Amino acid sequence: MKALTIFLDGLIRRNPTFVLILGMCPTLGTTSSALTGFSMGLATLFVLALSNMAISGLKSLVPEKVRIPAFIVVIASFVTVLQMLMQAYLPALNATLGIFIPLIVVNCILLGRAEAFASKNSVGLSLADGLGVGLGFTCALTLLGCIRELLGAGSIFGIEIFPEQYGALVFVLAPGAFIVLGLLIALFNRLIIKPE
Amino acid sequence: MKSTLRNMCLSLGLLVTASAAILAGVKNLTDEPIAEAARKARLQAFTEVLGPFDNNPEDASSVLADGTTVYRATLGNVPAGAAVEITAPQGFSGPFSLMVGFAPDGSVKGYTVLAHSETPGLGAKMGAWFSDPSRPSRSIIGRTPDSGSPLAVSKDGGEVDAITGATITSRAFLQAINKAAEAYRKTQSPTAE
Repeated sequence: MKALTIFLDGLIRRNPTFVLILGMCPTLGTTSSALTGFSMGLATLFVLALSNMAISGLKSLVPEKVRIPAFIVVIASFVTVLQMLMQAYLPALNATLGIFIPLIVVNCILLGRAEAFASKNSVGLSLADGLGVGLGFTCALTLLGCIRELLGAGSIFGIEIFPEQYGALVFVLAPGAFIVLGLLIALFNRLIIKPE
Repeated sequence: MKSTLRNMCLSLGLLVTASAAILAGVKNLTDEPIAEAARKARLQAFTEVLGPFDNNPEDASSVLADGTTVYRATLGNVPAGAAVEITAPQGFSGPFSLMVGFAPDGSVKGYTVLAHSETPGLGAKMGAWFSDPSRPSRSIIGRTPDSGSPLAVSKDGGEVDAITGATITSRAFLQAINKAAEAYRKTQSPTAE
């Protein structure tokens, strides 16, 4: 029961993108289409779930003063494994996401969850937290990607809704990322996070 | 665990060793699939930019001084043009690389963009823009860039329409095509003529 609460917390009440406003670099950079946003979310989910579990398992073996470098080593290892696997089996996706895959290492969501949650809780709960936060991030990026792709290029996941020339290019470019993200944050907080 | 120097060195040392071992293992496992994926991508590019061929162009390649690679294709031992892998250094957001196919007479048979970081919706359109058969003023397919009349955008007095809003990308693209044509002429063996 507790794991479920933690999972839902990460997904909604402490959603990394819309509530904590963390990990903005990949959020703005990879959501020019629904597919890239979704893939980036999944890649982060993969690393976050594994690194949360590993860090939780290792927490009694890591001295307090060197915990940050130790966490970074764990996170960087999983990211490198992910990158090699993507190069081998999903080369096209790897080329699209490019530099954003290695940059997962410095995504503050990962270190944030390691420091605030995994280093204080059991392996099972850390996994629930990693999956919840990771899925929250994936949903947010996919939603952002869908809206930007629809308004900018007239399609969602590459499926044409209206002809591309009627799209507003600004939504595919960087300013559109800020505009859509800002409106989504406002909407999410108005509808789902009730003021106390 | 207490943060004594011994503990800190020991735990970080062990962690780094374990992580290095895992990475080395995964690298060993993925080395072959990664090379295979790169080979497949190149083969895919060959079939996109060349006409029919029955040799392995990778076996008949020559690398020029600037890193441009020419892959010669043959069909039944008769030269069937070549694919040129070239990097355009002057892209709007950094260099991009192309594979350009040439027919034996030196005209452009096809091209494909291998890697780029151009602006989505503007420069990134180059993959389809210059090969649209319904727009002859844009298409470079069938044109023969030679040293006397290189391809250029209409803004620079040439015959090719630049991508709307992405003249810099278009210039870099056409320059790369011209350079690729030059590389192709340079490496053409006498038997091909």
